This record gives sequence, C-alpha cells and structure tokens, in this order.
Amino acid sequence: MSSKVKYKDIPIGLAVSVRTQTHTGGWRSFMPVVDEEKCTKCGLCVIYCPEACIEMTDAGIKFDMDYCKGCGICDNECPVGAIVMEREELVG
Amino acid sequence: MGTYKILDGNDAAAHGVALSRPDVMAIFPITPNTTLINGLAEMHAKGEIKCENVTVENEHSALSIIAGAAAAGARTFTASASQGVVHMEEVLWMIPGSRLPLVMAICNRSISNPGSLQCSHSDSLLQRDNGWLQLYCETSQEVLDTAIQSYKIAEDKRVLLPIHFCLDGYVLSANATPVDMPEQEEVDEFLPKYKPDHFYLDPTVVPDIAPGSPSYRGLETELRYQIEEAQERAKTVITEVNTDFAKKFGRSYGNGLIEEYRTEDAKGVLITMGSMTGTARVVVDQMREEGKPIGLVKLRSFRPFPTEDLKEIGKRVEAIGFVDRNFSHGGASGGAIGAIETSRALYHLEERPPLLGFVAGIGGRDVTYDDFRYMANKVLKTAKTKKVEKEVEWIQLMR
Amino acid sequence: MALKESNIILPGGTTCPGCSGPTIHRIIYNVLGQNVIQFGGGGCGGGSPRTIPLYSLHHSGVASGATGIVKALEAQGRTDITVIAMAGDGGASNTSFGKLSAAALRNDNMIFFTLDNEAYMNTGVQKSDLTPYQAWTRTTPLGKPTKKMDLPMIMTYHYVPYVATVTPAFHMDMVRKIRKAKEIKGFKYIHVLEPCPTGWRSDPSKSIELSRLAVQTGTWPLYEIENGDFKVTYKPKELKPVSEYMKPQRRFNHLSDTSIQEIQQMHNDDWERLLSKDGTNIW
Repeated sequence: MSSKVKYKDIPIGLAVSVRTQTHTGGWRSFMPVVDEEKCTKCGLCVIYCPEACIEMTDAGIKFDMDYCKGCGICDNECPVGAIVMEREELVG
Repeated sequence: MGTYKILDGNDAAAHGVALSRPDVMAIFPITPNTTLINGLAEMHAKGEIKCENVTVENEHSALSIIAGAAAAGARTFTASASQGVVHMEEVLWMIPGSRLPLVMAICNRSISNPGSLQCSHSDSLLQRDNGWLQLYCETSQEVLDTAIQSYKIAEDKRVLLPIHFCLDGYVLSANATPVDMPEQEEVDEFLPKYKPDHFYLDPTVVPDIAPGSPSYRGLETELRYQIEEAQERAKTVITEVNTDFAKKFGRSYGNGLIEEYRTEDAKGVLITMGSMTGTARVVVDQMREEGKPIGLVKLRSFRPFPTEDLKEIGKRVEAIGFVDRNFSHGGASGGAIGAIETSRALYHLEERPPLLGFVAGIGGRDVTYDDFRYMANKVLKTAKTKKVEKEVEWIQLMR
Repeated sequence: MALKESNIILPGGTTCPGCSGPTIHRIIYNVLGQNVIQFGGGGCGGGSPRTIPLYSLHHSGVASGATGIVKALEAQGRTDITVIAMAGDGGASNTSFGKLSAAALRNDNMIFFTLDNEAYMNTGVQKSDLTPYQAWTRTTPLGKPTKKMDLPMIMTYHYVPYVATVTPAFHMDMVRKIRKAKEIKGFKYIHVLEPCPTGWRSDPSKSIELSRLAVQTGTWPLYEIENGDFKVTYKPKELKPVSEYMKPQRRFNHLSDTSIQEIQQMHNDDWERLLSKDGTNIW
C-alpha cells in the first residue's frame, strides 16, 4: 500500500500520543463569557478548569477557545458569578 | 576460562546471569526454576551481584516490574516455568511491542491440567507468536553461555527484542555437570553496557508519541512488521554472536541456530530440541557403528525459526523426523509444533523429503535410547520406502 | 495564587467535558514539577496530553511497572527523579490490587495515586469494588448491593509511611498533601475522589461542586495517616445531609427515601468512627 508514512520510518516501540492535543474547542455548544467588572481575579476558575483553558493576566482572565469544551465548571465555581455560559452560535 | 565448577542448569543460568551484570532482577519461585532464583538471591545477598533484587508476589508482577525497569534503561532478568509463564502471558505480549530487550529463563515444565512438575516444551512454545526470541539449551555449559549470549543478541540494535533461553526442567535444570566458568573481565569485554537510544524513560525525553502502549493510532500492522524484520535480522545476529563467543571463549554451538551432528552422508535425520539431544547423540553414534546412515540436527533457535538451514538439510536428506516434546491438540496432521513448522519451511522445496512427527517426553517422561532407536529406524525406513505411515506418532503412549 | 501553572498537563485531551481528571492531574503536576516519570494512565480521567514521559502496560500491572522504574533508577543512581504510579479505581481495587499491595509491602519509593471515579468508566460504567453502595452502573442496574471498599485504610495497614485522601475541590489540602508525600521516602498512597459526570449521571458543570459536597456530607472524609498517626484534615461542625450530594447524581435517583435514610445512618456511624480515630495512632 503506497502511503506517505513508511513503516521503516516509524520509530520503533511507537504508540499512543502523549503530547498530541486534539482541537476540543469544536466540541462545545456553550461558551464562557466573563463580566470583567465582577471578576475579582481570585483564580479559582484557572485552577478548576479541566482543560487549563483559562489564563490569569493582569487585565483579568482569558479563555483559550481552541480547547474550551464548554463544560461550565468555571460558571458553576465562580464565587461572584462573573462567568456565564452562553449558547454559542454556529458559524455556517 | 579454565575454572571448572560442577553446576546444574539452574546454577549455570544463575552464574551466567550474574556475569552479565543485570541492573534489576525480579525473582519468584516455581518448580523447577526455584534453585535458579534462590541462587541469584544468595549471590545478591553476598554482594556477588550488584543490582536491585525485587522479590515479587507473582509472575505477572515479575515481568511488569522488569518491563518498567528496562523502559528506564536497566538490564534485567527474570525466570519462570509452566503456570508462571502462562500467568504472565498478558505482559509477555506487551514486551516485544515495546521493543524492550528483556532476558528471561524458562525452565521448561508441563502446563496443567493434566500437568506435571517435569519437562515439556509447551510453556515456551506457547510464546512462539508474540515476538520473543527462543533458544533451547542442551547442557549446563550451554545454559551459562547462552545466558551471556542472550543479552548480546537481545540488546543488539538490529534486534531489540526480548529473548527466552530455555532449559529442560529437572532433566537439565537439576542435573549437574562440569562447567567451564568464564572470567568476569572476559564477559565484560564481550558484553558492553546496555545503552538504549530507542526507549529511555527520563523526564527530559518526551516524545510526541509514548513508547510501548497499544497503538491506538492504527499502526499495528507497521509496528508488527518491524518486529517481523527484527526477527529475520536476529538470525544473522545469533550466528554472529555465536562466532564471536567462540573466538573469545572457545565454545560454539553449531552456527548458533542449529547444530548438525553426523549429517554429512545421512539418509535420514532426527531433529531434537533441548537436553534430549544428548541422548540422541549417543544413539546416532551407536547406529553409525552399525552402518546406519542416521544423522541428528539440534534445533537451538526456535524463534527465529531457521527456515533456510532446514531447507538446506531438506535438500540433502531423504527423510526427517522431528522429536516434539510438545503437542498442539487438534493441530494439522496431528499437531506437534516442530513438525508443523518444519513442514512449512520445507513445503516449497522442489523435492520434499517425507516428514515424520514424533511426540515424546511429555510430562517429563524420559526419552530413552530405545525411543531414539525406534524413531531413527522409522526415519530410515521412511527414507527407503518414501511412504509415511503415520504423520504424527505418540511413541511413548501406553497402549 | 499559591501555585504556578506548570503547563505540564496540556489542554486538548479526549476526556469528557466536565471530567475532573485533568483538573486533578494539573494540581498534581503543578506540585511535582517536571522531574517526574509516570507509570500508568490513571484510568479514564487520564486522557490529557502531557510533557512528561508516561509508560503504561495495562491497568493490571500499575504498581509493578512503577516498581520496575524505581528499581532501575536506583540501580542507575538517578534517584532525584520522582516516580508516580497512576491507577483508576478499577486498576487499584481490582485488577492491580495484588500488585498495589505487594509494592506497598516492599515499601517501593513511589507515590501511588488512585484516581477514583467509582466505576470502570472507560469501558462504559461497570462496577468496580470502589463503586459506592447502591450506585447504578451498567453491571449493577438495580444499584450495587455491596459497600465501597475502604482502600486507604487497607493501604495504611500495609504499614506505609503516608496515606491520604484528597479531592480537587479542596485543592490547597491536596497540594499540601502531595507536597508532603514528595518529601517522604517509601511508598506513599494518595486516593483522589474524581467526580465523573458521564458515569455519575450528573451535570458536567457540577463536577467540582460534587467533589466539595462529597467532603461536606462526610461521604469522602479528608484525612492523612503518617506512620499510623491519623489526622482528619477537614472537620465541618455539622455534616450536610447525604441527599444533597446524591440528588444531583442520577446514578442514585432510583433510591427511595428509606434507602437514603439508611445510607445517612451508615454515614453518621462511619463519621463517628472516623472522629474517634482522629489524633490517635491506629497501627
């Protein structure tokens, strides 16, 4: 079978990817939206987000939408209700 | 060289392993390997082997432990037999896929039920599909030498596959003969330190792909073909190691894969594996005195199977008998694994000699001079008549 | 923030949305740092990509593979590297149980983490021996008739230097315990309650909340045992009712009020017993 990857080129002992990241941003239906006025920069959302998609900056929190799965834990855990999950519009 | 010790197969294996300087060994007893691991434990306690000795709780753990150790770059050892080998079956399959050059001794013993504490080759032959190399030893001397050679073969960059060196339970493992002991310095020169560059667990080595685990990415075909090629290359490596060993220590075992004994003008040959070869040699000598053209082939390497060597013999002789200390219930033409593999090797020869399968030695039953004479006569008769009366015969069956 | 994000566990893993596994992994690695070798995937919640080497044979050999790595590093003098073993609850309580026991008895120098999502989740929610009493699973559709195995207590009676229970909602408690374990030589056992929305049939956004309620209702007491010295590390004055923890999980919604009362009584008894051990040496 002719293919780009040739068996001789595969490093031996090879298997499951350890570092490969999947584009999980494509999974979500809801996306987190932060009200920067309310946010106290406590950092709890940063700790609890399973995908490590929330970054704390001097200006407040930033979401990495490439990976956010829309689970809503950040919304649920925010002590001041600064994060709200909103239905994401499908882009056609 | 020059120091002789009276050692049984187990002691010889323990000494061979000790001389090879393992880093981590996992020991668990099972008859008939028990004195092997007792010996290693004692040597370790006395400081004669400098390594980590892990007393494990079952064979499955023994193999997983040394797999982890080998993955972190250690030279390792474990030993088992019969039920223990079957218990670690799951892990045995994972090792060749991870390309870890483990060395393991199997003291061949029947698998229950019905089983025995005594010798059959079923336990090691059960591993013939999973990629482990297999060498079968005839004498204590060969066990010690093969232990050292096993490390060199397995760790060779062209191979990087795990290896079993097998010794018959009780018949070889518990029978003592004089063994020429190599010096540690000589072994150190022959066997350099294990330095893996294909699989080395270390926080600074992070591949994009994790070594060893099941190939979820759908590459099993390719990974297994790599193992297939490594087995093929192992034939060359086993032969080379045998030659190099002979140069350094003065002893060689045929060409490493098989040893031919008085086959030059033989009309028929018997093929044997393991310690029964010794008995067969005596009978071949006796029969040659009587003018009977019988020869003997000792099959040392079962994996990789020496297809080319057997093909050459098949071209020269007129009948072959394989003495199988095993069975394959319900198998083609009556089972008998050696006969099955040999017939495949010879199948496409232009002129195929008739092939007889003999099942003998099951459950440790002694394969006697009379048994060999019977089989040799059968082979020579078949060489004359070209008629195979029975494809596989259980020659020791009480009828 | 007390703990810097180490970026060892990366986003984009194939765990379910709301899985607490990656959160747990991140807390662990933020404490342990980069100089780690991991053996064992950690069960279903271990699907995150990471920048440290991970080798796994099968969930049936978790502690033993890790022992091998520890021994190799000792033989080579690379003893500054931390070796951790990560098992799911199926691996720890069932398939690798014997290996875990033996490694603990040998006092092999590793931290063994059980990531407990309370069933064999990766194969689709089948019961393990760490599944709680009365929980629905696909192999116990009427509710599991037997109690959850008390694995941390079993491990302390292997006479290992450190045993702890943790859960991600109480992350500073978890951080402190992992830091402590890292400094101890020998076999350290840390049991993490890992809420699983898929198997527990709960809202994905509630995973951390459930981990908090588990502790606050006394279902998952947080304690540590150092050489037999038992210490409860979170002692609410009053426990919340168990039903608060169980109601958001549809794996318990087949239970009648009577059953829930029965379970509440069991919890109360267990909590009393726990408090009586607090501050004593239980070896």
